[in-house]
Amino acid sequence: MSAAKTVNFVSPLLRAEVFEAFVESVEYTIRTMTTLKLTAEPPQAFFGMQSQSDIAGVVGITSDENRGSLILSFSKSAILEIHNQVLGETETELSQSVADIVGEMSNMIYGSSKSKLNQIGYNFQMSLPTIVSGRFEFFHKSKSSTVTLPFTINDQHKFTVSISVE
Amino acid sequence: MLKPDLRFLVIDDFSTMRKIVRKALTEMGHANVEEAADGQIAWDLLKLCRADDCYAKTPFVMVTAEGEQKQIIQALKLDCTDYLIKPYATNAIKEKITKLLNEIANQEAA
Repeated sequence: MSAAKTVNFVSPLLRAEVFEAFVESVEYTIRTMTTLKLTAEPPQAFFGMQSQSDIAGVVGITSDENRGSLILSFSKSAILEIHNQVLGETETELSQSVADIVGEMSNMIYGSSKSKLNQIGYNFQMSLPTIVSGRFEFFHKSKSSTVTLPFTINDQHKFTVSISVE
Repeated sequence: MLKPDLRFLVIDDFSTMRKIVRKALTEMGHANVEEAADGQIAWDLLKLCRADDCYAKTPFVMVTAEGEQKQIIQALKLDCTDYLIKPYATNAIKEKITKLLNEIANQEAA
């Protein structure tokens, strides 16, 4: 397992407005659907980025000029906290229902971010999420760096949103 | 006032979203809720209902992600009754359904 290298270089396509749109969308989605305490941590830039999780939603980011990916990576405990609060259930495993909520959240967060960004001149297209379940690492195939936005739920459950655009 | 014969059909590709809507309807006292898992059915059903005099006034509420404005426009062109943008709080669904049912009750009373 090769560790991702933290770098200073960030693709010029990944401007602050892009981070902000995604952070706002994550916060809005979680706070609208749950009463969980959500903390955003400082973004990190990686080259040859990796993303570790138990379950993830992957959305292709496409526009006329750009191509990339958005990955929402959840620890098991984080997604179960969200799932169980949204549905009022007590799921303990990464079931189809949990996978579905990852898909919906990926869809909502990308949709909301896309809408914000397209209002200021981007031209991102809608794309359907793919759900990947199991303990794994992602490596973005992008030639540019990747920005990861880490979040914590109720001070202990981690998830990240990684964006790579080239 | 709740009508016991009210029937709801919740259509969404994702089971989670169907569960959220079902939960809201159940909390409102509506027990007669069916589900379908293929979003395309909703479009077909909307077109069929609007073309049929018996079902032309069947209310449809579209729930869609914020980035899907084209879908909202398409739905409104097909005379979809109302829409809701995801993400939403459960109360938003309840308010939307209540508003819709009140409008129907008022129309029937007029």
